[in-house]
Amino acid sequence: MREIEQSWVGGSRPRFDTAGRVRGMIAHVGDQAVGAAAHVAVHRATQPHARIEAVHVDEALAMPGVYGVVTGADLYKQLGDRLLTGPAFADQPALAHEKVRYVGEPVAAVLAADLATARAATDAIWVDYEDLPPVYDLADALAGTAYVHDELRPSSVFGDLKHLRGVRDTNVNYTYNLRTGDAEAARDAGAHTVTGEFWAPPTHHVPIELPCTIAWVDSGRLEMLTTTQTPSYVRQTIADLLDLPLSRVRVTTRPLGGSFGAKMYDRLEPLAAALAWTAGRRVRVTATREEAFLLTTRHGAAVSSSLTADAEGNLVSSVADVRYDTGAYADVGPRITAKSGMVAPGPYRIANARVLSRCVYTNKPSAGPFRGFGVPQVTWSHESLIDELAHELGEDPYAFRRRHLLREGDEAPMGTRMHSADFVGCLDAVANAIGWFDPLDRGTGRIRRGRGVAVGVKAVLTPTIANAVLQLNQDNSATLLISTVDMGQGSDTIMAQIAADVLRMDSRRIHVVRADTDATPYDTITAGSRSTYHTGNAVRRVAEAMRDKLIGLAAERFGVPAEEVSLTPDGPRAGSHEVTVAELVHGHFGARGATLTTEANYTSSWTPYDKETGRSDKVTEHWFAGAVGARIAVDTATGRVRIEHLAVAGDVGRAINPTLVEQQLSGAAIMGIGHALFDQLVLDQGQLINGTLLDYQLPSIRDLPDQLTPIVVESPHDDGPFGAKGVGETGILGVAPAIANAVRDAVGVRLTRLPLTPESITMALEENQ
Amino acid sequence: MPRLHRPTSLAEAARLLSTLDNPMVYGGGTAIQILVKQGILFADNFVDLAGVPGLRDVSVDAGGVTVGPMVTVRRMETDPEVRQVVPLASAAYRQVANPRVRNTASVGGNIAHGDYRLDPPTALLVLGATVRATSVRGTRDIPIREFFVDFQVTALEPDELVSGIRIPAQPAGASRFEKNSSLGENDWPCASASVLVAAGRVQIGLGAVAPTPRYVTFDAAGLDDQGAVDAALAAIEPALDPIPDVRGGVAYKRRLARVTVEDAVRGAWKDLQDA
Amino acid sequence: MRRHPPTSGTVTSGERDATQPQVRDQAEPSLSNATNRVDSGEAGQITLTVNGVTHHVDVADDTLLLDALREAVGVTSVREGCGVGACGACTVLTGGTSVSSCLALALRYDGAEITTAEGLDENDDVVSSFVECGAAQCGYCIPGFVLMSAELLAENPRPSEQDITDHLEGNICRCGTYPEIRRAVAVAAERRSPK
Repeated sequence: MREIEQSWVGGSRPRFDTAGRVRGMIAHVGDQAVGAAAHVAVHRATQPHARIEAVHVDEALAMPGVYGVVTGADLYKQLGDRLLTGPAFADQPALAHEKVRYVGEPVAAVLAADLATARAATDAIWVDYEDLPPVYDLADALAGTAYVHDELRPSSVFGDLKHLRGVRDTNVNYTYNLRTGDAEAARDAGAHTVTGEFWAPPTHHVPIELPCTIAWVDSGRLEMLTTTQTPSYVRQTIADLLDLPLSRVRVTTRPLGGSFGAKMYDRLEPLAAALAWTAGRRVRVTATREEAFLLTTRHGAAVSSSLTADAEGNLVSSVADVRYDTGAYADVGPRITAKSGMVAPGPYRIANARVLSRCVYTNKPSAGPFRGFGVPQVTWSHESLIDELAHELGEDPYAFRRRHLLREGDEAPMGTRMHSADFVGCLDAVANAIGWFDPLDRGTGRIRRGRGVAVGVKAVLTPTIANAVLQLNQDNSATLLISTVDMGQGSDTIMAQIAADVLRMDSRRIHVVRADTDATPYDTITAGSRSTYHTGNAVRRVAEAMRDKLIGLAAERFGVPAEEVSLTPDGPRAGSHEVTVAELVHGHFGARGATLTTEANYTSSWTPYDKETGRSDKVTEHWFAGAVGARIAVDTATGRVRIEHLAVAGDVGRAINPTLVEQQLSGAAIMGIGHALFDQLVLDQGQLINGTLLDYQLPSIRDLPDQLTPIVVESPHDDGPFGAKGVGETGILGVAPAIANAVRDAVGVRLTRLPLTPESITMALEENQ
Repeated sequence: MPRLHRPTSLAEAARLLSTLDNPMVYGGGTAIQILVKQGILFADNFVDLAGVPGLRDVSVDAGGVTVGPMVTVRRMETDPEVRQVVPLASAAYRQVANPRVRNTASVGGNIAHGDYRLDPPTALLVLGATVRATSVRGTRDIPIREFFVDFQVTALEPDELVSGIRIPAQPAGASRFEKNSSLGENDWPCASASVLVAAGRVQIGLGAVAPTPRYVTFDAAGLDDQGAVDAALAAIEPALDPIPDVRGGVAYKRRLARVTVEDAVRGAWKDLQDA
Repeated sequence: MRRHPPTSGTVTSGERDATQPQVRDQAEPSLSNATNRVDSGEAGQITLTVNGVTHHVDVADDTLLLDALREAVGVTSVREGCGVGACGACTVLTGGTSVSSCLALALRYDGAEITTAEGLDENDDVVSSFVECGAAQCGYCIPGFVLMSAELLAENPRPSEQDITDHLEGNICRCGTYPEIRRAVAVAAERRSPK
């Protein structure tokens, strides 16, 4: 009994199939045997920006084992403009057509008997290019002398982008403006203003599982098994690409070996679908680690910003000019530009705010979603500024923040009120954890210690749609059909906990079906920390519908009103009446193995922001609130930062599974340590120069803080399932600024460019002398 | 991928190296496989030493350690006799890559690779090791201090293979191996140094701070610890010629080299005093 | 106009109909498991004893142990994460010693006794400690950590925290499960040789 209760909401039951994961016995997409499929390898562009004059494929075609070579022109001939796909702008071809826009862009695909042959044949393809002026960075792009795209091509997905169709001579594909009060005037009139030019570089997700897509044609339908967080989106994209009804496209998944935003929207899937469809055969497309670096990145972002206080120390103005470098293709950059640009002032009470947030094309690998969805880049700016302002005012950076943080019911600068966003609780928790109020041995020699805190705020993706179907089996086990993809966050586990809690059954008897668009219902995406709330609510509702059904059947059997029946782990009860679920369902159908079925939907809503002011009374369904505290030691000789204690707190509303929540917080914090200290994609004239795991830096077990403390803060959300919200991104928001603020505290230098390499720290120390 | 040849004697290996087009010795294979995957290895034939008997032997005598080229890097780290006779070398071998790569990587391949960032050459330079090179023309001994010629260029002729390394026993004194990375903690070194203080001399091997591993030495008679540090920093100055890359610019790498050498000298000096 | 890379000069785009996908109708070579053939090139047969079961596998000169295990033996806990020995997802034990199978030529392992994570018993100290400590999120990298931990404990039954860190430094867990992994190794050591 106690074990059953532990499997409900609030219990830290083990993740689904931990034993299988530990021994590697859970099947991933790349493990699927494919028989006599065509293996696909891609020839990639060598130029950052060039017109394709000719693609010479005959030598590759002549190689033994090569079945065929397909170019962008070949696909365009068959698919026309449908070749161009993307979530916000239909701007990205599966294979470059007419132009290449970044070094590494797919130009031609080889289909061969095995992967080694396919890869060898890509080296035998020759391309004639006419070079075009490259747009290497934000400065080039905004100078407006060369354009990555001739004209903007909004996709049909987002109605609010329609007015951008056909706009020419710009690299800015989207602009978001926030105007609350008169921020410039308030800044000019204010007593104390701090300013900064902040930079957060492009980074890569590097989930250890490489992407893989297997696509085939069956009875005139396009079917695929693919590593994606967005099966419902991919189904729609493929249907559009091939001009098929949704019923003739099937997208299936397996648990992902990590993703963090890398396996979303249009990755390998459009190419695989186009090849399988035009070639009429099964194809398997995968990527090496080096190729995976080119598929998507985190946006590099520049933020020029200021924060102003009046003579009493009240925050009166926040101004930010945010430029997201989205690379050659917009992907979901325009959404990031708006949703993350709007929180550039931070989670503070500020009467006047002005944000200009732009999404900018350059000739680089495309940038898309990455854990935090663009918010860590603006958090880097606002948490550095408020820290510096506190120093300027001679105030304690913790207390100064605390005084100005948004409270329950407060309206944020973009016009939406706060609910279930306990910034103060998170800040207090991390400050206490790292000993903010205790004396600190600051060191006198080469090693100097300091402490820093940072707070983050992020909106959940809104509006979105979740659906769930539940089948209760006659033996009192259940099968839950949802399209949420488990990629390590544990959704299969917590969704079962939610359903089991409602039904008073053992959650370990609930199987969550892997996303299969033929069977599992539509779900917007598994991303943006939205699933616990949205899909969790659909699951709660579908379980409640099942509970009502069971109670109805029991009431009928017992001959009592439904109000008198309750569910228990041993079955429905009403006074002295009792029956097991197995008996009840068997009695109803007269058959063993029969199932009861219910379905439910949950859809969130928003008020679109005003085009002029960027304001909305409900820009999001709910907020994520997080804080990070760091105690660090700087080796002033080498510039190396050692993290002695990192505390990370997140308001999750209610923890469905506290252990999994803690893992999300600490895992995000560890990823954030990389972003803070060493993790970045380095490009030179459009060429990625550290795109292998020998050079690209990821946190290893050696980079852990001496102490890492995840802290769960629970401020229940009125509409969340059992009060719960998501947590996947909360932990990463404030890591880099908390560490930088601790460096400022330790050695007195303010760094505005990430990562905080030892070299940058020693250079700043030398300049400071 | 080049053709793989699997000789079963040293003579056969040497013969293959002298007759095949564009051959390369395949030792542990870890670095070679990486270069193959990166498309920057240009060889037509691999001569695999795995089947040649005797190349995995380690023999220790009073005068030093003789190791075969196929001895793993990990064995140099863990073998108690090696640790006792050449502790500085053992400490440097312990810092190569990670334990799993050290299980496969070979001591012969490690030096033949000639990469300027590798840890073991710093210790071999200090200890005055000798590289035994074998070809159809016979066998010759190359002093390690003449072995690293230029960026990824060694004194080996194209038809020669490393058939052994002799490391003289470490003299009484004190030694330290220090390594600093500039990005992740387990990244390639940004600067490394082996230091031996013995018989009134300081010997220093430098890694990652010039196109080749570098060796410098000076007379430390009459110096105190600060004097030794100052002399060391002066001595290494002409040897520093860092290659700027994602791990740091020239100025930072020079700085880190100085810090690394200072820490190593100070540590060794302290060990000497404490002994 | 520039050509990248220079062409032979004998091939131009006009020699084929650029409007049609270049997919040839060609008989496919057999890739069935009956032949266990995993790559092209010079082939030889090797014997791999994987988790106690002997497999005869045809390999080419350049077949990697990783591909031989995945494609011919059918082991899927051994995974390619980086291809350069830096992430540890492809770790196997050969005769108890850890190897990056992505950098290892299969031919060299003829006759080898290979252990993969599937081959460990579910009651194995390391496996059960990882499960109990929740030392897996997505789990993709975890079999590699498990094998490195098994190797460590065989060499050093009472590792310090620093010993654990030193031995696992070449394995990447992108979910950031390191604290749980470190705890699991300590628990396994305690279980195997109680203080």
